Amino acid sequence: MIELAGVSKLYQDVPAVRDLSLKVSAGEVCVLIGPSGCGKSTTLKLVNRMLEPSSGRVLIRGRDVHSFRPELLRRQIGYVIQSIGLFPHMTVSENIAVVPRLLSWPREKIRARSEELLELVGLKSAQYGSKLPFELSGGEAQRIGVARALAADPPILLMDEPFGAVDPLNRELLQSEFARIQARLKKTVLFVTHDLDEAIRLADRIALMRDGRLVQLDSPEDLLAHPAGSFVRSFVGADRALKRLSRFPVADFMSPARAVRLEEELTSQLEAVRGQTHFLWVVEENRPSGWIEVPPAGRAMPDHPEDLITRFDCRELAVNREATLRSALSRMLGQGVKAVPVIDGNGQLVGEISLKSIEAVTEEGSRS
Amino acid sequence: MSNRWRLFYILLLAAFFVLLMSFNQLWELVLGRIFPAEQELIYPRAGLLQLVGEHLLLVTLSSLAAVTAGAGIGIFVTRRAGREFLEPVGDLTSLAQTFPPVAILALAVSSLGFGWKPTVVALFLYSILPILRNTVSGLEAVAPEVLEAARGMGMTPAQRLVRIELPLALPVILAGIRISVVINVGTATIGAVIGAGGLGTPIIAGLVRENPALVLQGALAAALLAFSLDQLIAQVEKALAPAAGRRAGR
Repeated sequence: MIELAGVSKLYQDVPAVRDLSLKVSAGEVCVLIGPSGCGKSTTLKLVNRMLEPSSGRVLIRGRDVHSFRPELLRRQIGYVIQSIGLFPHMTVSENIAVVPRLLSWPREKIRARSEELLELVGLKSAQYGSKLPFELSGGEAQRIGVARALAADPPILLMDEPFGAVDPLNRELLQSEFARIQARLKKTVLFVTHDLDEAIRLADRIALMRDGRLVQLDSPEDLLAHPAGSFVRSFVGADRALKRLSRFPVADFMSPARAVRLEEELTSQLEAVRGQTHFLWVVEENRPSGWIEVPPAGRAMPDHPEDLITRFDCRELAVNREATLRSALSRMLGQGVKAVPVIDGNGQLVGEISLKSIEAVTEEGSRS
Repeated sequence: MSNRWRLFYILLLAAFFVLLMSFNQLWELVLGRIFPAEQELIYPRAGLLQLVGEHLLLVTLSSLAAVTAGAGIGIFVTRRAGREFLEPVGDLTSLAQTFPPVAILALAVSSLGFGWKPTVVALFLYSILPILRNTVSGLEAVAPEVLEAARGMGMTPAQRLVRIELPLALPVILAGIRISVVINVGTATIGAVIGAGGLGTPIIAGLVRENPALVLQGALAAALLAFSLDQLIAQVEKALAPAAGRRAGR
């Protein structure tokens, strides 16, 4: 979809990008990352001709970008920048309508599209459509920035540190919303950031750059598991094993959870599994609320099996099935346990994730 | 204030102004109180309304030309092609401002003769600076990220100018026009020296005949005209740039 072939960019003889080749396939999120001044933003701007390469070719859908007039090229590429650049004299709806208007869409279609996009980025169109940019919070403004870039449904999105100026809490929210939108729209995205966690979270592939050169191009998992050379190793940090865990959703690694129901008679439930396991979750109204240690076979069942139950607060221990192994591990360390229950969106127990299964993932990563 | 109220206010102000200019008895009454010794209290050879008409013609022609030139040059020197002229043009207009208007008038007379033509030329040269200055600073004040977004979304240079830059710079440009017109109304009184007519006529006549009543009549009328035009442009400013006012929080 996007291809850079041997591209270099010089600023007064000083190279910002050197002989860079990169292919981004359709529907992929490719994140350009590296220390400041590594040429990642410059690379991004070569795609929509905000900058022109000194040598090499840039192609989108197999066509050289120079075969398009710059304005016509840019109208089919969504562009989001860190400073957002909403037009202060236009309402939110008018801001979103800019590219559709440049493309002379009929008025009714533009109106419908602007409402649809506001809902997509999670803002009520009736409430936000007629606001002016200065009335928006940073996070809201950035959502409008994304909606505006998506307005004409461009197949390609260029995002230049889009969430860099937002506070950490909002940034995480915007990231997960972006991931949700991207899962639905499947745009081809070239994304610049200096935040490794953001890259790991959003990227299908990460392109790590240094001094204008591409150092390593890999999936986040492979980049973290097999850093090529000392620069990559130090860039990804000593905690790369931990970072790598945030790539894996709990749902893929959980095992079925065995549980007893507090509403039913305990002794017979325990007798049924005696000898097979020594540990069961306790659910109350289908929600995990504790665990119980099963007395080994041969030992007498106590008169009050309720005494064997250890209660916990589900909100502190359980992880959502969409959560990452990293957060599951952090729960285990925080609570000093070797397994945590996995719940679905309704709070129902759907499985468990154990320290062993997480260890299996980290071992696989360090085997190199 | 809604636009309808603005229009109402301006019409009321204009009606009041016209009424005041045609009410000779009132002028005689007031000027007679201030200068009881003078025989002639108001300029006898032309009514105030006629003088205001002449004055307005001088101001309108020169200001229109100055707006066209000032805004045009201001836009040109902030484009990529004209950027190198930004400094010399600024210096040149500042220099024009340091030239006394009477001197410009005298120079213009030598090539254009007496009458309203050299006056309009002198006033035009004198009015450009505030408009040009404000056009440039208004356009330069447009945030770079706004321009980058406009470019990145596929606007042509002309679309960026018309849809983004000029609307955002408009309040500043209008403020420049307002200053320029108010100064112009005062300066235009010197046109009377070379027979251009206008509200300078009673002032000059009063100076020649040593009659302060006539001087005050012309000066007061010019001040009232300046005030009325200032109010008119102020209301236009508010009507055209409502978003700019609401943007105060920025």
